[in-house]
Amino acid sequence: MYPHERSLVKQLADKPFALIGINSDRDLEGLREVVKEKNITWRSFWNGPQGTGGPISTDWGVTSWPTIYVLDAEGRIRYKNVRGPGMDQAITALLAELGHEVDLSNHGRPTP
Amino acid sequence: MRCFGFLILSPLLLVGCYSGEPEAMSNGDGSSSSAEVVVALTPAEQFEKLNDDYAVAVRNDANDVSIYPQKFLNLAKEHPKDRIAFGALNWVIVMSKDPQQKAEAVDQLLDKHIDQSAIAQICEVIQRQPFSERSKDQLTTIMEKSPHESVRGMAACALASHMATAPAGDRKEQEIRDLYEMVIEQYGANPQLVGRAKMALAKMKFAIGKIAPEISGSDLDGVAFKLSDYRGKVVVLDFWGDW
Repeated sequence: MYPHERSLVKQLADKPFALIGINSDRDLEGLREVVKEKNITWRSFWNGPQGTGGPISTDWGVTSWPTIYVLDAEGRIRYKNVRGPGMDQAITALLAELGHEVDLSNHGRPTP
Repeated sequence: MRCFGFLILSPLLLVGCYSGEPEAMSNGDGSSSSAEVVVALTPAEQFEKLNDDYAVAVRNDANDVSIYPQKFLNLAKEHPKDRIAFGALNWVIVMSKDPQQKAEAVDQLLDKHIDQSAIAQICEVIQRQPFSERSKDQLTTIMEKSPHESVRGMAACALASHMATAPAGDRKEQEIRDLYEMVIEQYGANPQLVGRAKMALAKMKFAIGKIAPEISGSDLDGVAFKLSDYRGKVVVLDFWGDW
């Protein structure tokens, strides 16, 4: 997950795109270490000390992790639980709606 | 697997759940007269015999097993108010492959046996039928006329779920929401129903095409921010944890 997301964020840095996490780890201190160690470059809401029982995931009815929602520029839910190439396709389609052509087909693969 | 067990067991089990007296037998006056020479099967015995015959037919892989629903329907018609009619109609509702026949059995059941609490289980069967006004009407009847609160609640949930399967153009979202909200309000004593209604409402709220609700909170450094700060951008929301 992390390498895929990291390279997405990097490749789309100049596009109208954001990856936002909602993190459900209970231990915030430990989590900050993880973020540093694993080079998690994107921003996350913290779901609070109740972990998976925290307010944001409860509001959203999330019962399994990870859960993914992809929103368009108007904030409309357009895709759910897309991963890997599926996520890349979803993002490509939504950016195209905004007039941004991106090619994520080779994304995540090591460049020769 | 659970469903399979339900399918096989329920018609017989439900007869056991029936509350009420068996219908008086035509030859059951209790006196020992010569009339006893006529061996008439009681409705219960007929029901049992049909079940046995069916089991044998299935075991022999007989090609006429499809006639059994009609036989059970006929038995129910002969003794409409007997508990056996309830069992026989249930049998048809669960076992028949013909949606028309199923619906016919449901109508008969609701007409004469609406007071039975075991109707709760029928709600689920009706709910799973392909969307139709007839199924809607049947669930509405149960919701309005059952004397049991839990059955009415179950019917309300089933009605909402069934309505949610209507083709997009016919889907009455507001009515569906109202039904679930009514369940949450009126059946607070039944956590299972309330849980089901809440889950369904959440699912509708977060369905594809819906505007995502606002999230406001703090990031991992304690800095406050909002989801709406990102309007104008394509956003991937990732509910994650490092575990």
